[in-house]
Amino acid sequence: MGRTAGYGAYAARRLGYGVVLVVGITLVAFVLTHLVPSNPALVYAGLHPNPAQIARARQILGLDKPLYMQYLLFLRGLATGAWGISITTHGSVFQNVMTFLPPTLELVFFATLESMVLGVLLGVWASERPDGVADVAVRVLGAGLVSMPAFWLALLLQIVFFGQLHLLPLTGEYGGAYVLTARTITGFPLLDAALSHQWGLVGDELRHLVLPSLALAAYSIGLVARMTRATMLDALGTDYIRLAVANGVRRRRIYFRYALKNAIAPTLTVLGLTFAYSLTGDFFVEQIFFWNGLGSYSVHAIDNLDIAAVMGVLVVVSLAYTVVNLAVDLIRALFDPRLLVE
Amino acid sequence: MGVSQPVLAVRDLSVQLEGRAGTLNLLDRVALTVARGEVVAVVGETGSGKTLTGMAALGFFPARARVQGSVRVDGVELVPPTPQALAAVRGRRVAVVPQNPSTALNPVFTVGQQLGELLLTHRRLRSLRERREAALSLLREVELPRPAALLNAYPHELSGGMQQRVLIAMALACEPELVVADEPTTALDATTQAQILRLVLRLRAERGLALLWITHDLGVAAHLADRVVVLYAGKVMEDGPVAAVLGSPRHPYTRAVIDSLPGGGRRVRDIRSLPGDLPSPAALPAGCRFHPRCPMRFDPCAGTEPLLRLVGDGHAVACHRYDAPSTTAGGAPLP
Repeated sequence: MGRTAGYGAYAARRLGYGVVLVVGITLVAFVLTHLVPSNPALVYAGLHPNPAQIARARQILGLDKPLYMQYLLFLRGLATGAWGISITTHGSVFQNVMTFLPPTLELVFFATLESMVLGVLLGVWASERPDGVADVAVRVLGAGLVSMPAFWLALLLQIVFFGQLHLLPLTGEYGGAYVLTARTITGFPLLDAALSHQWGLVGDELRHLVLPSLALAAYSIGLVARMTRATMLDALGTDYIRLAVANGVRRRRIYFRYALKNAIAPTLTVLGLTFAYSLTGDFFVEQIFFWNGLGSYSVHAIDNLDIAAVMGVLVVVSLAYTVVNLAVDLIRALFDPRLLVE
Repeated sequence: MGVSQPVLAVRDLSVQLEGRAGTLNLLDRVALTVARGEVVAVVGETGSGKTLTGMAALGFFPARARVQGSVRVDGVELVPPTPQALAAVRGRRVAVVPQNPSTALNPVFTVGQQLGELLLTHRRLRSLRERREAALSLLREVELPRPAALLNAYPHELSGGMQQRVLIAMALACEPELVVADEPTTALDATTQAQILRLVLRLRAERGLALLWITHDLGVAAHLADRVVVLYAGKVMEDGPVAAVLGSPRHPYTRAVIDSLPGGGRRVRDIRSLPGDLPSPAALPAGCRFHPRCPMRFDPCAGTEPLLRLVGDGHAVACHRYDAPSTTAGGAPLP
């Protein structure tokens, strides 16, 4: 009954919120970076600059213009890909970001996949018998995963799986044997390896992905498991599930069809929210695993007061966050039509 | 009752729960029979055990409860509720129309999907088209307008009355012999309630359904039922044909409930309400559990528990006033 029209309007409204959010974030980011009491021109000009060199650096970086002009120029630059010049790499921030983003996206993609699959499975398993063995185990594990910092877990994983068991590689995106053969086509390491039919490299990269993605996913696995358990128990206790039982619907169908569809929507929201946490965790995890992605780039940029680079990263990250949560909202509404009513 | 086996036969059903306050006697030797095509109303206050009695017909008992006695549906014993017995009864012989239509439909599936699920389970309609046709005819049968559009509607897009009709259609989809209706009209407004009752009466006549109608509303019972069972604190107080029980009640409790109803030309200030409260199932009074509130109690009431005794054709009462037919009060209808 008018569902498609309702969905279109809902999607348009969500998209509108997203745009407002992105504009707001650029403004806040811009103001914040200019509140930092530092002088990027000094850093740009190098060691022991004379006043003329500093003035020239200010001009190159556009720091001599009024603030609002700097912001407007920044916005115009955003749209055209002119994201300024990094004072550490002396290259285009846009190109830097485009180089470092794909490996990070691969890492975050796998981490999200793991939290979704493992989290939901653990949650459903726990909900089958409240206070049973599985339930207690999942609750303890969930609490542990949620409260363990990503960098600490990363080190633990390295000690166990590399140091003790010798099962998985310590750091990097692929082994030294592939340094000469790896090609850059799209910038996504795994995709490029597949596109150039280097299946050995694909396998090697997957092995390298296991530990960092797990370290990154741990928090959301714990959260999703606990959330799924709770929402499943809620769903299983409702009148409509009781009615389905009373009307003789089979237990397995009640579980995986009736209850899970009701339970999955809140879980998706949690997944969208922990995406932000994943990105923060990514900064540490990339450092520990020498992952050559946006996290490593950002840490370096922040270290060196590279405002243009930090802004670029901020914009990309907030854009990614907005897109992911927009997607979550759109998917949620497919599962739960009540969300279309506002 | 005739020669045919009743569709539901409850015998000496007791349900006890060990609680922090001691043993809770939720049901005490409840007996109840529903013949084929018969409508039996179970009436009582909140906490009287009427919903528990209705749910027992589906093999639902409270978790960790001690259940004694017998609940037979079509000869299938539900005490203890074995998986085989439950599979043979739930949805197959007995279906439910629940109390609260707004929470009884799954919010994330369409009406068509929810009907389809039952048609698949109980009528083995494998093809989507067969299920669609069957669902359409069910929606027509419960007098819902524009059934084709309704198939794709979600529960929140329907009014309470429409939701209740969908739930009735879902019960019919199972093709049960007995429908347990747990106060299905309580959450509806008076007009909708009357429409639903008319619909139920029509379906009952057309399909020959037996109904176990759980209600606190004697008016609904009078309108709908062939027989009435009055429950008080987990025990049957009176059981008989609707005309006898409501027209000339024998039990002081039944009398009190009828007197507490507004209407019938009585003014509000003339409505007599029963003093006191329903006793806690953890601390039932000795003797007759109604005696502390009973306006007609006499010597034996506090001492021994009255048994159900026949006082007329199919009319039984559990009250000491009918113990010996020769006593002064015995036999006569209450004023």
